[in-house]
Amino acid sequence: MHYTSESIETVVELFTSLPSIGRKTAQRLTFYLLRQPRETVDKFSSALQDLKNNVRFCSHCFNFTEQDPCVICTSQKRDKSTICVVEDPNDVLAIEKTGEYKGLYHVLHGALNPLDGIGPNDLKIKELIARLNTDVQEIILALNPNVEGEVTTQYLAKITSQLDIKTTRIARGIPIGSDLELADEATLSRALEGRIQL
Amino acid sequence: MRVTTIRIHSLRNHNDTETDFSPEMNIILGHNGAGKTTILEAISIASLSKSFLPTPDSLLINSAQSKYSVHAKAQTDLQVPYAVTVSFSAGGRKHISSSIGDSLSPKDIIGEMPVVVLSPDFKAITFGAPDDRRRFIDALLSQCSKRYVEEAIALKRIIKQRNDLLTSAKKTGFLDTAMLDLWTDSFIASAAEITARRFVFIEEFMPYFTESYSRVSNGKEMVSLQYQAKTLPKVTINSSTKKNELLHLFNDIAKKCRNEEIRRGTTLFGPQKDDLYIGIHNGEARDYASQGQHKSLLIALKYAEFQYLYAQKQEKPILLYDDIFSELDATRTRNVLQTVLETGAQVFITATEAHQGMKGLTESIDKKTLIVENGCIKND
Repeated sequence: MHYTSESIETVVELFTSLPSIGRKTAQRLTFYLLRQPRETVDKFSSALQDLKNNVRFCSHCFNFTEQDPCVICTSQKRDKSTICVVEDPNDVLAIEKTGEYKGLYHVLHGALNPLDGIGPNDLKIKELIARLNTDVQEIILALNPNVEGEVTTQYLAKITSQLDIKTTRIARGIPIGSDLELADEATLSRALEGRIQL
Repeated sequence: MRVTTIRIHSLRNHNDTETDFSPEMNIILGHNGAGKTTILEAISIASLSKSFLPTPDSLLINSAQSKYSVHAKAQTDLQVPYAVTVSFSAGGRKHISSSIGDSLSPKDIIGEMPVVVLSPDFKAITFGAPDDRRRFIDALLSQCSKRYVEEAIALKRIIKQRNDLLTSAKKTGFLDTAMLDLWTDSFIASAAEITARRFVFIEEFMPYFTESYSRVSNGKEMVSLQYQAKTLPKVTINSSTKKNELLHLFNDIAKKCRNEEIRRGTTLFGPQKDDLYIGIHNGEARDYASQGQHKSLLIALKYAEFQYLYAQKQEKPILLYDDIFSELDATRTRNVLQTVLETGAQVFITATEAHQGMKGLTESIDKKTLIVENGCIKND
């Protein structure tokens, strides 16, 4: 179905190109915007401009930031001896939410994935190695628990072992607050493998 | 496990079918193309998230519609209710929800409602290619262990990634050896895990199989099973081989294959090349079994599958027998039915007409006959 207005069609198409938005949702969003006062729509367009103009990578950790280096990298309260390596800026957000981690981050922007043509040079790995000076005492690898994340973890572990830096990975296991009997067997069997002595 | 009711929307020629079942014997009758097997496929979808036939999901959707859905209600042996809904839209993803939760992936429901399917399509297990036998092992192990499903998915993904690395090296002439080593290590770890699990499985499964074959053939013949890791040195491995040893063996073979793999641009070793040896008294079944022996072997494998799955899950699997009587003679039919009835499991049988062998056997049990015509059920 096509609309009589080319402008509407263009906006619908643009919304559809976003992740997890289908054509119906795109239409609903478009018509919602159309009915809003001009100021609201202006706010959207200038906010989108700002997003692209102001946000860039932190030259240390490669998280998104407006000031370089970012607030985490420059904070006096952060422990500079620990670096937590993640795939995605969203992962930083997730770990920050815990409020438990006080070290620094490093965002790789992906994982090794030959099928998508992503090799070590397409990730921020060189930049990570450049950060590993004498102050850094521990690297925590917190990549996604899938095949690609696993291989990337092994790759990084190999590099850091040559540099003689303590390297750890986050544990895999049962989510807190859920019942053991409800945990899926695959996760549970991994949790058993990774049991720790008390 | 027993399916109590099923609702089918737009699956093949079933537009909107809803029916309840007997907890024991269900006989589905109808002409060719009436939609008998589709009812079994619907149960298979509710259990395994896919049909037992190789038809892709997009072709299962009724041609006038854009989405099929199957909703099944069941009860465990301990009378705990279980419900599952699986739907698939053309060009989209599969949506699965069950008593466990919403937005599930296939691995979440596989094994929750165990089934054993016997269909003429599965004849390939005894005389087809190694691939057909590996699929038999994988399907059965997947219903037994979610960890196995996860490992098998990971193995497939790793092979894909590794092959991509090898093919692009072949094409461009440039190979990142560090990267290949990395994926090789990952592949070996996964390959050793899968291989070890399959070895143990075949050893556990073998007594079930010999027992059930001697039932089917009245104890006249001996049969055997052996898992064959085709790319590993033969003599050295069995189910007690430790995973460390397997890792060593795979590492050795990886070194030997390396140049050839780079030349051919593909992975040349691992469990995706393995086979299951099915032996009868005079040799490998694939080469030496008669037509009749092939049928007996398949029936025995499937009966052993039922017993093994039951022992592992402590839950009686549902038996789906698709059009088997067209393949079997009267004695075998009687034999099969007798064994099936003794298990006390819920059974679904499709046939074009009431079969001679059924008479007299099914009188003492609860049974329901469904007549299917043009994708609709006409109850007796």
